[in-house]
Amino acid sequence: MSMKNGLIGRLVSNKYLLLASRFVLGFVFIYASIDKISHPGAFADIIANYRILPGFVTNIVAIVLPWVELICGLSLVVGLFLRTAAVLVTALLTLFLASLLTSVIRGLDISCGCFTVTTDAAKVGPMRLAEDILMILMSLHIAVFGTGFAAVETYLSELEPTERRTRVQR
Amino acid sequence: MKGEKRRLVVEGVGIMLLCSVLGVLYNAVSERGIPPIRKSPSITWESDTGTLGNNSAGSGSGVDKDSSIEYHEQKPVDRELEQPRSMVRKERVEKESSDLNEPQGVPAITLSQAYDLFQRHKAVFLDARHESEYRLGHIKGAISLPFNEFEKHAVQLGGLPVDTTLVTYCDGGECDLSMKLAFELSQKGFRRVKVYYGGWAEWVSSNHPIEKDDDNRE
Repeated sequence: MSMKNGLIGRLVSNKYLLLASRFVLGFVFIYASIDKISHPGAFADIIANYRILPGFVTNIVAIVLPWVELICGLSLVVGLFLRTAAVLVTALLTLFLASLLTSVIRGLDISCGCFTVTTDAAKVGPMRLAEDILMILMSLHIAVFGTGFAAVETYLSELEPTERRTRVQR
Repeated sequence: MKGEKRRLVVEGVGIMLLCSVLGVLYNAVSERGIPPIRKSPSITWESDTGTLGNNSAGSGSGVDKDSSIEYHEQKPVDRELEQPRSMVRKERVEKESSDLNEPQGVPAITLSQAYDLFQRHKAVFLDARHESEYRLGHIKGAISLPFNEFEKHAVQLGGLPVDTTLVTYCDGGECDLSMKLAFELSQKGFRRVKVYYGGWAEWVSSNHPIEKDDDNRE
């Protein structure tokens, strides 16, 4: 990879920086999932307020989505299915960004439902967009440069080297 | 690289499946679980033809029996939440109103019904919008009760008897604060809560009485 040369290239592929990205993003996702998992009703209302999804799927999304956040967050932190989790997180964040954008454009005065489901929590607005974009950069960072450094999947691959080593080490 | 993509897809699908199973299972055992399929957000329109008119009085949520309201106004149409209201049966409404997930079973009233209550001073109007919007203008005599700060403002209702007719409203059209507020109020024990679904926009466009915060009250 040509980007691995040069100062910026070396910086973004630095394994400690990657680990930092994983931890920050992973814990943010875990944290964000907890409140939603414990209050599915409130989360469903928030999803409904975005007026994007058809009403009948709102609840099933409210039931499943927080678990995707939780599992992906855990994956990022412990380093299992790391690249897949990073790709999923990127996809989720992109969807969130699109939802936020449409709300801002339509001028909806609704709560974000990003990290908590309380109604007086953060409203949809430029700050949320900025956070989302920052997190997309982090997830892309992991998806592109993700290494097996300090990752459970590395230790697993060492147990059965012939089959797995090739895909963990890049 | 092809193997890498394949692995991503397989793992991705696997993770999504795992999450779906976990989510549905947890939701099934959780105390706060919700029905997987959301019932369409429904409000029950109070009748204007008499087919439902008097049976709603039985639950204490109907139009006052002694009222002689003539409802000939065109019902609001093209509203996102509008339901085939004449089809909503009483039993269904009462069953669903125990579902905390959604503000259901609170009757909605039309502009003419709201205006009638207003003229006869039969109802207290509650503005569910943000306080700043209330200050810019509200239905004359309405009390500001922003849904987002419900607990803070609910004390204002302390002195009202529970059988006071309360009419909640918000912007109209795309807002659901009035429904949520109405639902909260009915949870608090108020028996005659109605949603004026047309809301502020419809009221203003009909040139019905309004006031601003700096106007003198009657």
